[in-house]
Amino acid sequence: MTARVETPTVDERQRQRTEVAATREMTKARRLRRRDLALAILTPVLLLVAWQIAADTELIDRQLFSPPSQTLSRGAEMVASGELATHVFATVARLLVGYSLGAVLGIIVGLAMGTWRPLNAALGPTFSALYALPKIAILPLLLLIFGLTETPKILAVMITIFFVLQINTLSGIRQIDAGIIEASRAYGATGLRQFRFVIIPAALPSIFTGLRVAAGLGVIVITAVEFVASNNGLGFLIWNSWQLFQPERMFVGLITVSILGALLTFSVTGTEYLAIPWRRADRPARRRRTEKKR
Amino acid sequence: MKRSFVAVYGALTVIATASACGNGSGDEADGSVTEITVAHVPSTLFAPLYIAQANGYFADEDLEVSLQTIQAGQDAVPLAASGQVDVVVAGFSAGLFSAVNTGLDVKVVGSMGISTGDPDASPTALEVSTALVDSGEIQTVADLEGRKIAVSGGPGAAGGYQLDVMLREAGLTIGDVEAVNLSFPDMEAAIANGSVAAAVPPAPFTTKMEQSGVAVPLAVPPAGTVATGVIYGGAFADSDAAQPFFDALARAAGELQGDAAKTDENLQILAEATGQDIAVLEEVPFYTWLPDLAPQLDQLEAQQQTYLDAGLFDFDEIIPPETYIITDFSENAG
Repeated sequence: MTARVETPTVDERQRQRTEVAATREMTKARRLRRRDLALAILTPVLLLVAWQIAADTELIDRQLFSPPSQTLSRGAEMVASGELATHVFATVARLLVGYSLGAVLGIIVGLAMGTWRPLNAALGPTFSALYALPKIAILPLLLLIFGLTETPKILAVMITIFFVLQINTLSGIRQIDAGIIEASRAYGATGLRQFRFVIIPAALPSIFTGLRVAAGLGVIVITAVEFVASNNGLGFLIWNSWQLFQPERMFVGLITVSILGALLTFSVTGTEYLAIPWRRADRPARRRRTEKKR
Repeated sequence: MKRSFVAVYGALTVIATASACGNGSGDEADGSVTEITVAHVPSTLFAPLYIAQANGYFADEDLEVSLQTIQAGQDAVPLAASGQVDVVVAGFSAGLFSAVNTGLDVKVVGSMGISTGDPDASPTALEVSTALVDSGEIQTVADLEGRKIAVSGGPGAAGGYQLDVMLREAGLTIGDVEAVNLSFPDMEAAIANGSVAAAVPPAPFTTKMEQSGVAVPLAVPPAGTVATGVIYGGAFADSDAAQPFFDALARAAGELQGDAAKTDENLQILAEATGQDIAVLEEVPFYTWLPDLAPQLDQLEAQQQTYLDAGLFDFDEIIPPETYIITDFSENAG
């Protein structure tokens, strides 16, 4: 007796085709992510290898451009002696305080300017002009007022971060679709409720863009400030190493600054991932294996 | 015939054009004048350079000198070693000695401004906060132990050596104080707001802070202290232009002896070169210059020792002078 083979229904055939297509897409997405990760890791590694080869073959002057092997060796010494940690902690402390204060103030002011037109009219042009001012240029004034303390260094970072976040927050509010605001009003969201449940969530992507940009700028500013007004920190390490003609230490400082900037940016990106869950909706969702229905 | 003429004409044009192109400084521009690039820090310390340039002494030696401003001598030492500049006229720093020890091809060939040691007329002084002196907290240089002292470029700079020689006369060294890097214009404010107890500025900053009552001079570098000079790139030192360039410098130094340093003409030249007001230059004490600008070996050794004692080097022995000092140019200056 022949076993009865059930012919799949039209709906089942459709579901199977959809599953096959989705699985194919997920596999492709996974493959692309692995490729991107490999490229992200291999590119700097290849550059370092090329640098090492150029130094070993005297294509570049290894006295001025210390090869990665020497730089790493010196870096290991500086880690073991605690010297690098001292400079890292000094810079990170200044950076985090300045970044946090500047970001909070910038977001608050940006939100206020975005929702209260007279304030934007009053402060907008002035802030646009002040934003363009190189903050390192006002450092002598800050030193004059606050002396050789941590305050001028933190303020230089804070002012830089403030303007970036103020501009991005304001921009985030301005780009909110008017239709969304209308719709929210229609559903009864006005005043603070509208602010909390509509305006802030809509402005968040722009705010986080500002936070990411500000992370890199903050590192640049604190490094520059430590060139001229500090006895510790990564900026001081870089500047002082060159003054003493110790290029390996300088490159250790440069690499550490780069890693610091990357870590800070990565932290912001991670926070953004958690804070804006609705932006994850366009990514391929994880699928559970479903049992074949018999 | 016509084709041959065009070919020959074209070849001659190419050859002529190639001959006319120089490949940078230190080379002859049109067959008779040599172009030289000199990196310098604008300061009256290097007066012979500006006098020589303004009075045409370099031109007399068939040299065309291009002055490039730098912030610190150390910035230009690697450039001199690689031939990007021919000469550096600036302060000597720990970085110079480290670079020499590493094997960079630079030579110290001359000295520049030398301290007079005159406590009433020194171009550099250890300026101490008037408030601290009046309160009795600081009466002598020895009382500066553990205090913050502003030095442009930090302890590894020429100012660091000058500070060290002044401290040593009081039984201290630069390791007994905290040398803080501050630019000259910021020193007065730092003393005034109590950020630092003292500073080592040159004139006219010394005069300015004394006149404003912010600081008083407590010590000056001993006579003969020198931490600045002339550095040749290795390639330039071997070139035919090296001696003529030095001859022109020494000729200018000869016109800066004694009271001749402050003639109206010289002050005008220095005012234009450094951007300072003539009235200010008239008031401030000047350095002195040896007529032959000979490098001071004992000073260079003492300067190295200062940095060695301060732990600023990766090496631990004085570099032999013959490694990096050439005295021939000053000896032959005519």
